Amino acid sequence: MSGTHTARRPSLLARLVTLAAGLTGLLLLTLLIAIKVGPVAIPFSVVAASAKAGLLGHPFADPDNLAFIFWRQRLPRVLLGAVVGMALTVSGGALQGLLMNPLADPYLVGVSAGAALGASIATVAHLGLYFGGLGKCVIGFASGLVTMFLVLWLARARGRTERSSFILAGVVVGSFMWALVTVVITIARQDLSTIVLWLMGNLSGQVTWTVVGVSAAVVGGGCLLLYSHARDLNLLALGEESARQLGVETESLKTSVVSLSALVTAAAVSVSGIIGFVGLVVPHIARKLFGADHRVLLPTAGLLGASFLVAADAAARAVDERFPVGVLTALLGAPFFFYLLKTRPQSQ
Amino acid sequence: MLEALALTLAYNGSPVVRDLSFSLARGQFVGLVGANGSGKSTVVRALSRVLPPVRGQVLLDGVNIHRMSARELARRLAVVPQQVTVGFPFTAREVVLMGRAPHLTRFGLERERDYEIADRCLSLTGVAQFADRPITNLSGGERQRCLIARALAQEPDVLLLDEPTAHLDINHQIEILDLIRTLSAERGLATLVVLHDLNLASQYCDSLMLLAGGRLLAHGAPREVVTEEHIRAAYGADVQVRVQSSTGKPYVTLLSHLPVPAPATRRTKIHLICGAGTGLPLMRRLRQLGFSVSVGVVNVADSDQLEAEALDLPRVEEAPFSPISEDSHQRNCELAKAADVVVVTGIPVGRGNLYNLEAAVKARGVGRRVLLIDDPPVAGRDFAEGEATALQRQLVNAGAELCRDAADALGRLEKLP
Repeated sequence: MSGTHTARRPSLLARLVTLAAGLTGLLLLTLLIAIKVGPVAIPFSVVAASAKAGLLGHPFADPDNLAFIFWRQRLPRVLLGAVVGMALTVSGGALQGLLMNPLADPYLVGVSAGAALGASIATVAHLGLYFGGLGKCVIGFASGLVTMFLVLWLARARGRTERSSFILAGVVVGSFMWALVTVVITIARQDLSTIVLWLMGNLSGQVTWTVVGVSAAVVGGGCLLLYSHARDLNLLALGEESARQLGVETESLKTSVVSLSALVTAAAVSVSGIIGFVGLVVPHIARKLFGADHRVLLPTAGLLGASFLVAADAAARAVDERFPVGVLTALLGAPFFFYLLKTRPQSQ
Repeated sequence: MLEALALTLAYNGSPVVRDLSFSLARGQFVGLVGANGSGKSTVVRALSRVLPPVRGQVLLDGVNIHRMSARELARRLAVVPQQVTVGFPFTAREVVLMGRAPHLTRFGLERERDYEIADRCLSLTGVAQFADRPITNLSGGERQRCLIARALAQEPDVLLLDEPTAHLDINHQIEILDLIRTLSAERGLATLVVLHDLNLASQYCDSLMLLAGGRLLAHGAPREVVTEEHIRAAYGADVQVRVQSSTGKPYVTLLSHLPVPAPATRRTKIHLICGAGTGLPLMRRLRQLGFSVSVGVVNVADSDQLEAEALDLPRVEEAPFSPISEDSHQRNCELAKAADVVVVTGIPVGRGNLYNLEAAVKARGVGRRVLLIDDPPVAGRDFAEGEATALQRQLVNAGAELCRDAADALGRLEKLP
């Protein structure tokens, strides 16, 4: 009997490394293709020549501004797409695991609405120039975090937090914040289109290297910390009580995962607006492809999400420089989500 | 090994379990039984550090479990839950491997040894062939086996099981209990299993703890714990407990399921004067106790008449909704006189059935013992302008016994040969 089971199986680590390498390759390939896409075609020769000149400190003649467009617009935008895509899918996957609800998404806990409110106010009040020109992002991020603390505080009762109360508190706070966003939009007559375009989810704004660097640092750090809870999230899948009986301190886990997801989500939303369905659908696909183990799921979903958003943004850019990628992800994501819902396996 | 000291457990301030003390030693297989809501699962939650006690403490080898981390405890104590819904399609092997988590370091991955332990546990519980299947696709019994395998993979000293067979059919229940029993014996585990089936519990456990209303009502060998008296107190149910001669284990039967012995096993003959369903609590029970029973005057299609017919009792019948005729009354008197005891239930008495009380008077006149069940009291069911009350008083004066209710009457009758 045991003879059939002694065959050596690939260890988790080996599997993880293989998958991560493959998906990183996919991401690099997507990035390579994506930087080619846009209203202006940029030949690789120009990129290579400008890079070489830059490294050697030589002056570089750039009559058509091609190298400038590449280094100052195209590349930051494409990289930010990867950062945001990873942020949304990792936080989405972690929240789905925490809430034991495969239909959860990173916007469920209300942080996105808070960040949207902050960014809208910053737009209307013309605070964009503060914080070294990053006023909108910083204020959006800060108000997202304030919202997160509000949700955590509301969800807590008698020193404990039920998982369902995260959803309830998040939905209620989110609705309230959205109402305030609507108020701001009503007041903002001349900034209306800016706000609306931003809310639809957009990577076409002022993407500077600072934005890319700071958000990559926040998202990267947040994702790593989330990843440190991956095994505990696995144990939670059999119920909170079982998880505690297997040694998980569930109260701190819940607070930690919700806070980190919120942090990562706020970072993404404050630089890109509300890009829907990525954080919901991509973790699903990863779960179907690579299994439910969060130690594999979170990194693979993150890399997959990064590739997905880079590709989607390239497609949006191909339509129009300012076409909101959030509209595209919703157009692709919603039907796919329906498909998932209809083909969901019956659990007993 | 595991010790509960004066545990008081409460949810939101309302106590569920009071002052519970017991100890569980290595190699013991103890069953925790009790009615729904008696606090069995609450005890498991407290023993596994999920629910902190209001008072008292739980000691594992002398150390308060709330002084340990959840991980420390999980290395020594494992719980098999009642039923779990698994949110994600983890494979059976992945679920069993989760049992190794308390033994891993924070960022440690499972090593070859952990895989070996998981595979061994999967084989032990007979689900090795499902190792790579998503647990969400397994049947209830298979999933329960995976959860037992997971608990074993923790390599615990103490195993707690909360109704591990609650949602399984009888074959699977026996399989699972056999399995747990064997495994805990082989590994010398201290095992506490919550069961709601008293017969399964008696069959499998070395000793039982019976919880009633949050208190430990009885604790000891199944034979000492599962008694008619204890069951009545804990479940409010009348049962018959027999000790099986082959195993020495008690076996519980609900009385309404008891067979009725065809020939009477007692000498005493009882004539029951009833109607309108007032005889139902007694008729079958008296037959089960082994008395020969006759019934008098009941109207056809009345529930008492139907029960008497079903039990095939000698009886005097009257047409539906008709007053008792002179002829029926005579036959009723004969049956009453032929019996040793006449029992009159709390029938509503009107002009049409005054004869029923007259028959009791006649029987008493020839020295038969007469029991009057005064429930409800006669004044409230006297529709014969006081004549029923007068006849009852006459009967009592003549030496008939007044009983509070059917149970009181049964108590007196049970003693008869």
